[in-house]
Amino acid sequence: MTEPEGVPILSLTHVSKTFFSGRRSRIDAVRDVTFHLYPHEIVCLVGESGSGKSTTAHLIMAMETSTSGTIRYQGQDVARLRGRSAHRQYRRAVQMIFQDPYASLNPVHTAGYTIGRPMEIHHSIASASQRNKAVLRLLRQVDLTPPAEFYYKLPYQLSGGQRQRVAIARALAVQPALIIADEPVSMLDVSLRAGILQLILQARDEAGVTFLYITHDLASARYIGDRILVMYRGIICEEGMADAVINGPQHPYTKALIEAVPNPEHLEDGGTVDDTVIPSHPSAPASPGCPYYALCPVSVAECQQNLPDWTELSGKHRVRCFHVADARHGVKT
Amino acid sequence: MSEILSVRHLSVTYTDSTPTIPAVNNVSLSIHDREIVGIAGESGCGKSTLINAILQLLPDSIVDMEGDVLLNGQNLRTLDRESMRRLRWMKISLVPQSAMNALNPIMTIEEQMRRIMEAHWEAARPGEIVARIDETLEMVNIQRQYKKLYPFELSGGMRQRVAIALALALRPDVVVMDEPTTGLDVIVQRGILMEIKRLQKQLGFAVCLVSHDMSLLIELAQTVYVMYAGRIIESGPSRDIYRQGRHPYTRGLIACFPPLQGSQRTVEGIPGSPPDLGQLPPGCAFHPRCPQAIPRCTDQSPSLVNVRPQHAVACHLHTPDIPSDLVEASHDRA
Repeated sequence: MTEPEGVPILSLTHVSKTFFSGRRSRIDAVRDVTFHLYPHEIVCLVGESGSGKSTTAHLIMAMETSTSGTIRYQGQDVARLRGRSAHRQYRRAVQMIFQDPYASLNPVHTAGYTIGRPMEIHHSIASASQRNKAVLRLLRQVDLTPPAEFYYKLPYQLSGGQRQRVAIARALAVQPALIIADEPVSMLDVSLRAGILQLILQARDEAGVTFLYITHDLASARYIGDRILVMYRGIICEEGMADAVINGPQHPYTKALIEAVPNPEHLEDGGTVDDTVIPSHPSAPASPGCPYYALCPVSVAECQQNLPDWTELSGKHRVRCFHVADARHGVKT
Repeated sequence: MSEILSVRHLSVTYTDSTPTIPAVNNVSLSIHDREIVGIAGESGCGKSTLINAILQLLPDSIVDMEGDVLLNGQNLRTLDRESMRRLRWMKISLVPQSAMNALNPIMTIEEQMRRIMEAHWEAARPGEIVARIDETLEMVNIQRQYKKLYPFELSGGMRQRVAIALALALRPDVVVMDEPTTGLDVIVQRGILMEIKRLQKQLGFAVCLVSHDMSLLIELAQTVYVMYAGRIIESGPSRDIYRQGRHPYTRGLIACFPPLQGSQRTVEGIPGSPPDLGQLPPGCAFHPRCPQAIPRCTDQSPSLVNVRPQHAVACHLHTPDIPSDLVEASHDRA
């Protein structure tokens, strides 16, 4: 198969989530999503707004329940967690970093309290003095130095990058096995993003945390990710090792996504920007077929009727597109 | 190409706090006909103050301003409020930061556009405003029927397009865009940037584009100014800035986004954070974060000098050994 060997820490199998609003409106936010996360991996879930990335994160965090399919954390069905302590255990193992550090920190709590509170709730460190030591260690780990000074800072006294560092320290506080990071750098200045990416890499390398990193930025996905899953309107349309997907994109949507990244190598000579044609926001009706069919430059009638199955390529790379399937088939025969 | 907007030795100091805050310090830049000029810098470097000063939006009661802002040769600093008001939207307009949240939530798109036009377009004949609303919305790819909607009924990208339509409605010569795509995802961003390029060709306005995203500016702009702690620290054609940027800060900004193509490299970012504009370090304001600082950087402020025609940098590593007070004096208009 396309994933690394070993026992997955988190498995999504044919997971779908449909939202209904009113009698007629039906949104298939997540459609038949299957993927596995293996220990110490950083997997990037990439897609534009409305592709279902955040819904997938909410399903994993048990903030929403899936319409069908199963999500298993270390073999245990997340939908079947019952009772306070089971949920609490799950929360301790699976933490989340949110997109907007201006909204995700309580404005009246100091950085020290924010980071120490999860340890208290999850009884990971019982004594207050031990906890304080751990908080100071975490502050140092996320480069908020001197830690004794940052301990007493309130969110309004911190910059966006510093706030996100507090949010990361809070997620690391209970020594989770898995962190879901939902666009953790998209609200930050470009100059500060590298530092946050570095922290995530460091948390994986030193604390052995597995990450699901959600982003719309393929360049940062390539930088940080071992594998990339490309999501469009609820389905995963392409996945593989990061370099395989970026250097050899197969799905027309992945190609469009790569084209959209600002690229200084396309130096302004008056023409480059206009030459790239990317259809604007999808307003195509839902169909049983490939969700990209309406915008796809190479779609055929079949694309609207049926959702293409996976075509396996080399490099742990696979794609859901009839064109790739046909081309492969043609080569074989 | 003729010069449309010229900013000469502009300094802005906020006087409503102690110590006073020199947010913009001796900034000169020029924007030519049909040119896209980029201004790059991190949060808190004075970009937004510069924009507000160009548009004369800062109240006299809290700022001290020096220098000139010339729009088509006319000095905006000497205009009274009413004359300036007449120029805004007609000659120079603004797409504000997080423009998608800058729309009035309780007014339809059409109503907001109509009010701006009525206030600024005195020569409009009956029916002309309605026709212009439809035409401008169409230009930014918003279907005519959407003008009856309220901002909350539109997606972020569409609201951003409306904000651009507002800025273009009266066909100004210069459009200032403050982070026009921040907060949008890459596909929507690309669509909007393409639209800006297309409209610019079609209508022939000049753009002053402010962003912290160097890769975007280099791709889109012909000329890039890099700002740090209220000063321009490097300026030049975007090609030169990208390939031969001299200032360590410019190099840092370019190195902090990971490449999409080619070999993978470690992204460094820039250590530390921008200085508090009220308490600038002595010498070069960048020296505490600079990996290449030399002793001179800690006490002498480098001046912006040309290293090639059109390419200027303010860094001791790249300037000949001239006592900085002499260079400062030659820059002084007095």
